[in-house]
Amino acid sequence: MLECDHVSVAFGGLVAVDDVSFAVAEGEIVGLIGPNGAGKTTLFNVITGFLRATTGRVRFRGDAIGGERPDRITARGIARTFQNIRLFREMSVLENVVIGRHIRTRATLLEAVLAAPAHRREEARVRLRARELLDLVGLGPRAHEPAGSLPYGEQRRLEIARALATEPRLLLLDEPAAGMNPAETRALTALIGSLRRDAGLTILLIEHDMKVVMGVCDRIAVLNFGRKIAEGTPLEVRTDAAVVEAYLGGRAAGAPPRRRVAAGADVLALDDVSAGYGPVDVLHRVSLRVGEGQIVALIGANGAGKTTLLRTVSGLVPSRRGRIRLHGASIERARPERIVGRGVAHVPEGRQVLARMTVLENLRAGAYARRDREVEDDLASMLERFPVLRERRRQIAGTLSGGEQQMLAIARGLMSRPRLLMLDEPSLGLAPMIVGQIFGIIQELNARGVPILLVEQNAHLALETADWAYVLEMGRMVKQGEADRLLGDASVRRAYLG
Amino acid sequence: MTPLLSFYNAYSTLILFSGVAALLALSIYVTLMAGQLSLGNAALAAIGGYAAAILTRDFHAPLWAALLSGAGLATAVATIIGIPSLRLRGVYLAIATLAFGEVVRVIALNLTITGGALGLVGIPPLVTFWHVYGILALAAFFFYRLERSRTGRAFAAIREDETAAQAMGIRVTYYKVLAFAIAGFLAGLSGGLSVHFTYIINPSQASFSEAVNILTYAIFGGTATFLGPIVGGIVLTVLPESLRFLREYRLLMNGATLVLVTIYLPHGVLSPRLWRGRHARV
Repeated sequence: MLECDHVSVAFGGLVAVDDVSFAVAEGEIVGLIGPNGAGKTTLFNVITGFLRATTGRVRFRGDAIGGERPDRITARGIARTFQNIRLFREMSVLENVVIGRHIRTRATLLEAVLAAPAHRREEARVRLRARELLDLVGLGPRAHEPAGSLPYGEQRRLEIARALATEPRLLLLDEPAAGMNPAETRALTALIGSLRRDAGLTILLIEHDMKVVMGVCDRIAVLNFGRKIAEGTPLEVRTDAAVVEAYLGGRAAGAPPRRRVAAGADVLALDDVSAGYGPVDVLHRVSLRVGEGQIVALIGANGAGKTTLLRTVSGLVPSRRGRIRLHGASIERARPERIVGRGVAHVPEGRQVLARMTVLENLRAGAYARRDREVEDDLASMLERFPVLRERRRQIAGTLSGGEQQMLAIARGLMSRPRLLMLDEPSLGLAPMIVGQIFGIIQELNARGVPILLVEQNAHLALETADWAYVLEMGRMVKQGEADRLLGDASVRRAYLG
Repeated sequence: MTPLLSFYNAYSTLILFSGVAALLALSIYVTLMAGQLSLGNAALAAIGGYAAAILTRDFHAPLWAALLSGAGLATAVATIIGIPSLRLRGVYLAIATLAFGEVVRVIALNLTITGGALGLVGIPPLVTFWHVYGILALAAFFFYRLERSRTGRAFAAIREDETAAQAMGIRVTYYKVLAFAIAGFLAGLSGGLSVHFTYIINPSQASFSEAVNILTYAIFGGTATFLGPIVGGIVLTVLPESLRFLREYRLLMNGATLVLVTIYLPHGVLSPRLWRGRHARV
């Protein structure tokens, strides 16, 4: 159905995809894996017409499609989702899917203006179909909410529904499970399977979550530095020495178990805090403690309010009741820049690096609130700790791969010499080996005395790393305890660990 | 004479100007719907105005033929400038379309057929209340339907995320040019209407300040629905006149109003956030 024939893509001197050939047969589910920056998304962009291959050919159902416009390729029956989620955020969930029907509807502007019967019938069909698709991905009840207000995992599902609305034969999914918890990931895996079974779709997916890849794919192709280094069944790939070395990393990727730290003096204390957007509270009378030297994990389903809690501490979401204290001083009324000035560094979900600035400029921006003279020393030590960033220090941040951007976001947060580091989904969209590195860095920072509040979908990893953990459900704290105890707790295992 | 009629007679020009301003505001709104900030609308209106004036004054053409010809010419010009402009984004597109306005103004200043700096005078008085507000009503109906159509949704998708819109199979270039063409038609039509109740047209009507005025109508009213630009055009035309007692300071009021609106009502006076529930498109 899809054939890539010796495809290469070069940006200036940099070869992002290097002579890659592979094929996807009708009805197959094929996985594309590899470290961040291996060229997976670039290859997707070539297939969908957003980039032109420097050399090589792409064929879909026998026709050469290289160089065609993206909208033509969509019309041919290839749909995609985006790694960095590109929903129409201001529109409702339903409107997003309705727009997906664009290419499969015909009513002209004149018919629309005259409210011709053909137009009315078509509109009714479009809405009906959009509703069906929303039900399929479980977003039916959310149809009228603004797409941008959905939690991350639901936004990913909405992107899938929107892509399905274009009636593809081949569906390209770019990290569909990123930002999903294990329960959601299981539902996604089932959905992908049913799309093939019931809708006869062929699927090509990029994914770092090995459970998903190993669970649904018939075949896997592995890229590293733009080259295909392996291809085969999940079992073959998993045992391939080159793949293990380049991508999966050794068994000990998670770093050695650390000594658990008992709570010292409170660094951060939330008492009875309620907060939210608009008229609705997202957090309901939440209390939480981060002690000196601790790593505290906050786990819970998508939409439970974890990100909102971090944003409330940062002053980005106003709290409506309760107290937030940092080293004993109230900060619930302080403005975000003052809170940063007091030593809270917040590395947000989805990285949010300053895309048009270089790596060095991003790092300097992280030290903006500092007045001391050691900024340059810290900059040097940061580049030492993150060798990739040193290599790319003059590169524009927006052109870094996902993993590199995550490292940059953490490094930028550290540049303010925080007395509390809050990390929102640091493993999001990262290859297993990079996740191991990032968590290694988190532990190392903590060993040097930086207390850390960690929000993470990968609850297993979070609980292994943390000293103490809280479980948030529908905006309420439902459980807390020593992290390893929660790791063994049956109800927690069922809900979040899979 | 009924009170309504005497009111109309006293303020007829102002009332007609308000309707034309609302049409111009709609013409900039249609490009904003597709996420394009185009400031060439005053020049497009001038093109429509000159064309219609020449046809009725010198060739005694009927009004409707003159209006449609003027609008048609402006549509053609808008399409032609639209195609290369589409490579430009945001502020660069705004600058390029402003430059286009200057080109039109200088051409009008130097051609014989446009009457040079003096412009054209003695244009026959053919336009009445019903012409302006009939056309405005049709335009409003058009936008009401457009916002609920596949085309309107394609505009909105392009405005929010061009890349995602393309991935949905939307022909981005086609829809941008379409928005430009509709903008040209409306601007040309409003130009043709206004010359037939002001009886004159000169190059200053393609000037920078006219272009900015049109933008302020849309920003003042808000661009969430077509009602915003209509309200903006009417209010900002009437307001300076109702403040005549302020003498030379009254023009200051337009600026001050705009500053206040952008600070306190950044989505315009008719923002759906203020009038919750009234605007549910799907």
